[in-house]
Amino acid sequence: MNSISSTRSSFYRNISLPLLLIGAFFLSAFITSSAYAGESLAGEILVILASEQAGNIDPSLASIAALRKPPFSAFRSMRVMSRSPVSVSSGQPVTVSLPNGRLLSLQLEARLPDGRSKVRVSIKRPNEKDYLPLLEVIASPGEPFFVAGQKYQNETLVIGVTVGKKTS
Amino acid sequence: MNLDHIEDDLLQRYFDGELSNRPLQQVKEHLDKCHVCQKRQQSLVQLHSLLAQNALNLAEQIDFNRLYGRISSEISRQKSATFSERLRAWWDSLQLWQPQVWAPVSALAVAGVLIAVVSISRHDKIASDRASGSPNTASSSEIIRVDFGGKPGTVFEVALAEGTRTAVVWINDDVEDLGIQ
Repeated sequence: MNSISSTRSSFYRNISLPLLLIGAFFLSAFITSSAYAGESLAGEILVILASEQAGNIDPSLASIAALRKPPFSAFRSMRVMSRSPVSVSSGQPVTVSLPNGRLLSLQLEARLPDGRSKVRVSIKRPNEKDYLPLLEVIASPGEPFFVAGQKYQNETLVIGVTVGKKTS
Repeated sequence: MNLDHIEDDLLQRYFDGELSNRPLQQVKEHLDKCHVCQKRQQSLVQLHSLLAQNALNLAEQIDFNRLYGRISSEISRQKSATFSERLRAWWDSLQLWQPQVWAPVSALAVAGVLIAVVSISRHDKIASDRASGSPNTASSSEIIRVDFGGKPGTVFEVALAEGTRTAVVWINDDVEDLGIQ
């Protein structure tokens, strides 16, 4: 009886440090992966219908400086059609339906050390060749970049894509 | 089994029910014919029942509750090992380790810890850069690659405040696809 219990305790003593070290390895791997993997960024897909005809500029667009500059300064009316908050991650692309029935797909490709994000955008048409097969952008956090030019109801769609939030 | 009688060991095993089919059959056949061996077997039965009876009588005289109480109080009185004693025993057990076991395991653990430290410090630096708005933090968007899918298109850079700029991709939707792949 004594010899059995002493053999057992010796066994547990001998495997305790390897188990401890292996546990430390997996713990550190878990900490590392949780620091990066699964990270997602809040973003927004803003869809504007713009026209060169005289009209109103939606007041909510006043804070977007780029819309007051060329090529957008040619538009004299702008109407917000939709604002879609999205969570952009590297795993699965997020898809947003556009008013013309096309699908805008947005996927995070990488986080850069300077705080910007590399994202991939595409616009697909159901049962047709992709409208915009590929667009890769390094996006500044909180500052939208734009995909414009699609015609809809004789006006022009301007799509602002924002990834991340401004830190200052 | 010898020619005359069953050997003691075989008879005992027969009594204990440990024989396989063939020797069991042989012993049975011999017992049917041999009165000497029958008597020896009866003696075994009597001895067994006598021992069992004695054990029962003995057990009746023992106060088991009192016995268990003494055992448990003795166990609780025993001093448990102090932390330093346990630490020393653990250290002693390490001395028995073979290098081929702990060397790769230690290397693995050290590599894991290093990866975690480097990754976390890099992550913290990015976070602090963002928080402090250091000059490293670029604040312009730029196009890396664009495939217009055969349509004509233009890439603009729109200048914003403080020297930053953002990107605009303009697809000329008035023109039919050029069929360029």
